[in-house]
Parts: sequence; structure tokens; C-alpha cells
Amino acid sequence: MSTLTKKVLISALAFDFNIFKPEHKLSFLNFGEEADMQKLHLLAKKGWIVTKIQGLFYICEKKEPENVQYAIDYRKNVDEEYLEIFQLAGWTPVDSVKHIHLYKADENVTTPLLSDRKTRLEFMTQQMNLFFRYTMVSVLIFYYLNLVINYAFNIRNSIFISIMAVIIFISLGGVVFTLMPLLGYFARVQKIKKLNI
Amino acid sequence: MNNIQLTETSLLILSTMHSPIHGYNIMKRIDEVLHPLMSVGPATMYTTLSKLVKNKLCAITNVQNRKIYTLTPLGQQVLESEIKRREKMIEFMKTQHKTWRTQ
Repeated sequence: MSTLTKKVLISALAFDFNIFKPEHKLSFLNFGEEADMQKLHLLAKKGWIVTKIQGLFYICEKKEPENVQYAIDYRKNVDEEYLEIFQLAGWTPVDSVKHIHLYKADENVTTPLLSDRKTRLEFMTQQMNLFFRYTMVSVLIFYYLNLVINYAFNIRNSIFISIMAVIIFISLGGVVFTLMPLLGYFARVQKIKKLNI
Repeated sequence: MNNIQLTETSLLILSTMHSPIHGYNIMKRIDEVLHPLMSVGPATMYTTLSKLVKNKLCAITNVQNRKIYTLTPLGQQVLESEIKRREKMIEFMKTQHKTWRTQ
């Protein structure tokens, strides 16, 4: 019997139409890994259990509903001790792809992956810098594509214009998907700094 | 005299290294005594351990393919001065608090 699966786009709550329901508030914080983890938690309650990370997606399979929480860690060159420490704290590995490590734990596990302000701030700043670079690249791509479409208008080639319009629309998506998490991380960094008196 | 100031997490971790210890047991020991008052998350633990090693406050030896952490002389010195500093701070706060309560 084949397993029912569902793909959840990483960092893409804005494309989840539930976000337009009154109980959800559209904000920058809806982007980034915290929002993704909350989404995976809600899906698991409905029986959609994430089993792996594939490209830009979390792959969920239809199973028995679980009351679990998810967390993600980004780290290169991990060793055996890394896994042992996480497992001792109650966090079970779900999948690791390159430097991305996805964990899950029972609802009663109260120790978050990052327990102190310093490491939390470092993590958020690191992510913020990463998304800053992504945003810069996507904005540059968008800008250069606009130059190309201007050229297409000048030579009045309608097929060329149509193709470029589609590409520009896609690249605009790239800007949104990098800029929104960047603003989200920026807001989180400010929040952590504010809370430290 | 060193200028290193430890975070609460680093201090807790270093204080468990009076004898060679595995990362797993550091976490277990902290959790056994301080839970639920304080806990060290696994990502925080792993990051902090790497930083302590990088700053030569503790050293790693590999025993049967497992990392064992030991306090270095620098780590010992920093730990002792940090404990003294914090003891003085607590003493001060207690005195202030007592004075305030008796007023």
C-alpha cells in the first residue's frame, strides 16, 4: 500500500492560505524556521508526520497523529557526540541534510535546543546574515532581469517580453522569500537584545 | 590576570570538569541537579563545548572514540576567579537584600 505524502515548502507560511484566517497574524515572524516548526507541529497533530527534508520541502507522511514539537539546528561537521547530546535532551533526529538537522521531541520536553541568550542571539544573527546575503543576490537578479525586460520592450519582441515577464515574476518570489525571513530574523534579534537588561 | 568572563552556561559546564568527563555526562549532571531551575539545551551545550575548547579552557582526549573533556590550567584559573567573583556578587546582593528587609 502506498503511503500518502504531503510536501511542505520550507519557510513559506505566506503561501499557506490558512494564514489569512483571523487566528493567524501575517507578520515577518511567520517566516523562518520557528514558524516552520510550529506548522510541522500542527500537521503532526493531524497525522501528517514529517519524515525527511527533500530540496526545498519537508516531506510529511500520513500516519497516526502525534503530539510532538520540532526544532532545527544548522551545523557543519557533526560527530557522534552531537547526536548523543541531542538524544539525551529528549530530541530525536528526524533527518539531516548537509548542515540542516531536524529533530523532534515529545511535548513534555521543556529544554529547547538553544537555552541561553548568547547562543540564541548568535544563531539568529547567523541566520540574519545568511538571509541578508540571499536577499542581496535575489535583489540583484531581479534588478538585472528588469534591465533585460527593458531591452525586450525596446526591441518590441512580444515573445521575449512574455518569457521575461514570467521569469521576473518568479524572481520577485525569490526576493519575497528571502526578504521576509531576513526581516523576521532582524525582528527576533532585536527582541532578544531588548529582553536582555 | 585573564579578562575572560564566562556565561552562566560556560561556568556550569566548566564546573563539571573537575575530573575527565564526556559531554553526555556533563549535560546529565547539570540536569540531575539543576532541573527544572536551569537546563542547558543540546545545541547550546555543543556550541559552548566547542568554544571552551577553542579558547583552551578545556581540552579533549579521545578515549575509545569518545571525546572526554578535561579542564586545562587556564580553565581552572578562569573558573576559580569567576566563582570568586560571583560569590562576592551574591554576598553583596544578600547583604543589600537583608538591609532592605530589616528597614
